[in-house]
Amino acid sequence: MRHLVDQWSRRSSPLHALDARAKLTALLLLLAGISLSQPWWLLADFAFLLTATVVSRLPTPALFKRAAFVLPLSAVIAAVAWFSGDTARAATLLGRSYLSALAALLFAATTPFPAWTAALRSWRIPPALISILQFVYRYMFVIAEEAQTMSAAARARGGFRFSAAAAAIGVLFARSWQRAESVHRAMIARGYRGRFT
Amino acid sequence: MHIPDGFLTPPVWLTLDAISASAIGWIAHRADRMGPLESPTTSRLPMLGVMGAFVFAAQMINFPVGLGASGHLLGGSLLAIVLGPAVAALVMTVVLVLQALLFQDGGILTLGANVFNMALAGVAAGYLPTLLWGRSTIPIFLGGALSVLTSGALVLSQLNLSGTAIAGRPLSIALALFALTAVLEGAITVGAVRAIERLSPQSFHARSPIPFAARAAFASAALALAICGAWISSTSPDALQQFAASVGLEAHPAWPYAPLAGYELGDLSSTGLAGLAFVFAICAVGRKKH
Repeated sequence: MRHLVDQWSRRSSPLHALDARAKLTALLLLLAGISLSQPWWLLADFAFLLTATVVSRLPTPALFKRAAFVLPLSAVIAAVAWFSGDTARAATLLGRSYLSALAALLFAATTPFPAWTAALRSWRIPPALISILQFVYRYMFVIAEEAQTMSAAARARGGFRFSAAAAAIGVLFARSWQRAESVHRAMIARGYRGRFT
Repeated sequence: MHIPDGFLTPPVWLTLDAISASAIGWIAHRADRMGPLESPTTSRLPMLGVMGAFVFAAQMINFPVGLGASGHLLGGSLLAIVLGPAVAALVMTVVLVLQALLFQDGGILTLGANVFNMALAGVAAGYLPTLLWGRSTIPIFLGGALSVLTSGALVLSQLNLSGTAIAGRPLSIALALFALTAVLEGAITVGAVRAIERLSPQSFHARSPIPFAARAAFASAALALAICGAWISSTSPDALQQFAASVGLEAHPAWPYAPLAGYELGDLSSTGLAGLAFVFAICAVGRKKH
């Protein structure tokens, strides 16, 4: 089980080939720009992102659809502004959050995970934090699959009752704990000395 | 409750990014000093990483809450109770980073705000009751509930500071949702902690006598909340009135809450924050008597 973004980030295009540090810097600048953009500037931001998407040779509709994951929550907050009578503000908020999500997604979809953790390391992010990040990324799909199996089994038995779901969390925790211990032992046996190189 | 990019103004996200970055940097540094995180044999890094993966997975398990609806664990308080607050803060930070980058759940520039709300304040609030009163049912429940309420109050106040005034009926709805989520999180946390006690009792961190640094951190958290509450109650009525005036709300009879807007917001969110600060203060005092 692999994440969609992970498949995308392994393709090749001028955007994929760009240094991760440059892309991360550009992403932060772009996001800061978007957070200050007025409605008409948002159109320019959108044009820029659209161009970047085309350059990245990624499936544009799929990318735009994924970025829309941010919309439900944004829409709720924007609706509050809307109902208080500030339509322009609501539209700006919605536009800003969607374009920001698109920009972040475009970064993640053109930069393989090892490349952006390397970029973070070169920016002096505490190495312990980066190691945890790498471990979480490595194991989240594995353990999520376990959780899905448990949920499916529970559905087959007629669904989780509250107490059973709590027990399932306990089981998941205990299994994760054991997995962490055996992973650690295996890594030491293979020469792990506290850091990925 | 993950704030997306675009909803906070630059002063707000810049401040919170700076606070969160230094706090997490300090925690990582301190965790390293207490027992080297990266020593080859005693390293806790694989454990921390797998626990982060566990949080992702645990959030996929649905809890029935009646009427066909379901909710899920958020996890900050559970991790704090089982693994300790420092570990929980680091793990939750990493979870938030991945949620922002891979799942479009929360923004990049607002990462500092989300880390502050959930990984720092939420974890601290989730840990406090069991720190003080031990791992019995009521403190665990309170921990889960308080972590949600603290994060929720902080999200609302940050949105308010950024000019997205949430007042009147939307505020009531938001508060009702937070209250429901808080009760659910408390109940799930109790069930999960009990299950972990049965299945993996060796996982619980040793609760050492509270070090000075922790007490100082809690005291400053309480202070920060109090200041935050006072600040909002003093600034937002004006901001709201200005906001109302700028969109012509006074001359807009269709808006049912306008006459109350200036008061309700300031009162409710500052009362909420003051209440939280009060809880923190009580906890600090209660601890000293132990």
